Amino acid sequence: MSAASGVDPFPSLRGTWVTLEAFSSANSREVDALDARRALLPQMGGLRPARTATGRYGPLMLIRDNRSGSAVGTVESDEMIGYPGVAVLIVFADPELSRPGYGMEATALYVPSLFERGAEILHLEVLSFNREMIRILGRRHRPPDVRMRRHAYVGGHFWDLLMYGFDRDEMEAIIGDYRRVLPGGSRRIAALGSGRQPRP
Amino acid sequence: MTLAPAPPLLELDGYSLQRMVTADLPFVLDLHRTGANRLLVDLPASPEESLAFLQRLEKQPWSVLVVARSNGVPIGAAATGLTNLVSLNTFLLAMFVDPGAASIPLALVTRHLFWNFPLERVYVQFPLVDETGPYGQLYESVGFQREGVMRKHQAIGGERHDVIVLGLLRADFDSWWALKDPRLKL
Repeated sequence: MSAASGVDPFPSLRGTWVTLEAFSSANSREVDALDARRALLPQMGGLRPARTATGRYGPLMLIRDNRSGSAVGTVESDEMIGYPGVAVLIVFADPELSRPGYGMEATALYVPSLFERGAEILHLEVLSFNREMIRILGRRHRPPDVRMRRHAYVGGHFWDLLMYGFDRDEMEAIIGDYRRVLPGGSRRIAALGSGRQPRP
Repeated sequence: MTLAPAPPLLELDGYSLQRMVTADLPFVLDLHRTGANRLLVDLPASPEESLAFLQRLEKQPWSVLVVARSNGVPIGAAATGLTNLVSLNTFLLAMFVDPGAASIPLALVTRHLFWNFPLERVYVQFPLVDETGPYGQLYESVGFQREGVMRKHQAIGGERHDVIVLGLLRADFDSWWALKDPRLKL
């Protein structure tokens, strides 16, 4: 993905706690620093992501803390190889910089745009030792759809890879539940600038 | 692929595995049009593109590209798809004329993989529809275990279908064949 163009075709998305900003030359250094931190986390696979292309259904976006203005994570997606219409979602909320709920809010802000851009199924993958994520998904959804045994070698061990799939209705129900527990109740999450009136 | 004649890699009970060569392409293309095979392997439309696709597979690390024969008659083809050299797993692409009678040749393919490479795991994914039912039975007959279903992941004819995931660990392979047929044990 080129950050040099400076063009931001994807609107920033503002929530209660975080704002998502499309990757650009303005935040590329912050994304790079987050990528370096992410590479040290086993639950993110322990690899520094290759930033080469924009996702099929949405761009890489920076998660920024509304209160402090700090960059605290990234959210991104791309089409699953061999499965047109399936968007793989990757959310990284830095455990030291982020706060509980930030990752979920970033997901709730980001995911609707994936379906609007043509994704039909959202696909999540979680390593089996990532108990926090499994607990969150278990509480809000169901057990994993697939357990690929010993599929990932991370941190010197083979781990199972758990896979979850959601269609649009399921995801909207989950996000709806999430919105109700936000401060302010069922306030809708909106793109920055979406309230502007069109020019006459 | 080469034009050279391919000696058998493995032979058992009249079945053999041989490296795929260019001359096998017409058989592979016919095989792809047989039964549910088009749902298992996403071969390009033209023969030229299919050949290029197979040649790309062949260039991958730890590549295996074979034709299975029964008493000299081709009955199937198999190849490694995505191979992960860090996590030591590979995605298996396999097609047979009659999947109900392909347990031994498929077992030879998986044995060849585990024997030659330090793989921890071999796995397959295919849409879960009536036509592919015999393949589920085939993979289970050689020790693969059902690991779950990716919901609505595959679009076929405008409808989305579930995709089954089956996996075979190295340990599964050894314990399975130690009981079923020790000749295949590693």
